[in-house]
Amino acid sequence: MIKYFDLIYNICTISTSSTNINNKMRIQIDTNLSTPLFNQLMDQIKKAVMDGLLKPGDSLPSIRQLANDLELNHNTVAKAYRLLERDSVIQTKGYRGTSIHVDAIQNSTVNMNASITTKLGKTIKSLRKSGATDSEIRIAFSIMMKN
Amino acid sequence: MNIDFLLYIVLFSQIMFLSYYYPRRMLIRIHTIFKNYPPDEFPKLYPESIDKYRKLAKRYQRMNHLMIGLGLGLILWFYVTPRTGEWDQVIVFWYFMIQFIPNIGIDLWAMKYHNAMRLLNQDTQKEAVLQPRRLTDFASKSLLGTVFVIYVIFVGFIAYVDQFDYSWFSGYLTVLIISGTYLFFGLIIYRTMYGKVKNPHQSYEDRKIDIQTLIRQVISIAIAVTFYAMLQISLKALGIESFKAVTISLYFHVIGFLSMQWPRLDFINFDVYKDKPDLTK
Repeated sequence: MIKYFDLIYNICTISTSSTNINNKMRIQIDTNLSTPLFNQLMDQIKKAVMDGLLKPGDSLPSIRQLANDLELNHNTVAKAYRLLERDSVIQTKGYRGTSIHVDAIQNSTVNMNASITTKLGKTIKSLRKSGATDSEIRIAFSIMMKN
Repeated sequence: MNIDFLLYIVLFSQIMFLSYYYPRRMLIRIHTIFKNYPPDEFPKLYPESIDKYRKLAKRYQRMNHLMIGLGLGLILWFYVTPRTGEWDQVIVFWYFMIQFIPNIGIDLWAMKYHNAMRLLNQDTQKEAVLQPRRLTDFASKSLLGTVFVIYVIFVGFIAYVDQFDYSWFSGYLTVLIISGTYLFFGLIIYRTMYGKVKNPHQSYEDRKIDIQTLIRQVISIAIAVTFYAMLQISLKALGIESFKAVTISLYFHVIGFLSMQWPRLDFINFDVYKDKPDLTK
């Protein structure tokens, strides 16, 4: 009887040797690093674009899928995606999901943090030159940030 | 052949298949893992003591022996008790429900096992593949198309039977029940594809194979459920209800076969279980 069941089992068993998904680009985050997790995600996606591992038009996983795969909070991945979309590295097309932006390669080279630091640095320098004290600049900056 | 005699044969086959053969394959698999991947070499595979897992395997075996005894007792009871056969199908159904309890126990144990693995996991590095998972990556378009065609045939079949105004026929409620079942299966597939990672050490390739196996199982079961529903209605309409108990038992054979598809051990990457978890160092 066991042989009879074995025979039927072998006929019925679905081969599970492989799936037809190609592994394209792996992303790795480290929860021990001081760099915020959303920054690690953004940097790696940008790097993958610059290295040509991700090409314009390539689809990205959904926020839910990526967050669950990396065991992260959904908001962390959502934040990374939102900032990448702002930088035009990725684009979201409703139900069609998220994909790499057409101009992603050029836009990935733009470092928003560096750009902000440079611009603010220049402004502070010119304000100091015109005689404004650091405390006046700080107060004005905090008022502007509140608006 | 006498219908009662046929029922005894089919029911005996169900007992042996689901309470002897199926657990036997499961236990061979478990003991092969214990033997080929011992705790000293693959510590991450054993979040708790191997003796505990051995005891659980033994308990699973004993429970199945109990199910065999219960099943053989049921056949004996069928044999000695004069009956109309009206309740045979219900009895076979409930026997199956009880017979499957050890396997539900195994599933619950697997959940606890993965929870323990996650608790012990001290790995701060997490990895994912930047590629969306789609249903067609795991099930061919032809298989999905087949399920859809079978569902359409089922709705057409119900519409056809409905015109005869059988008093027992629940009409489109059957369509609603089958649609609900499909929806439930759809939720299982969605959770499997996009849900949380159960095994924190499992390689992405192995996870893909697990997802594929489960999706194909669920789709095959959906097809089997639909065919079974049509078969049951046909038997009643044709007035050969006496075969209902036999057909339900055969249906459970099919469900058992479909549930028994596990990824081959030699395809699994066990190297990921090699490092010792920090907490047990």
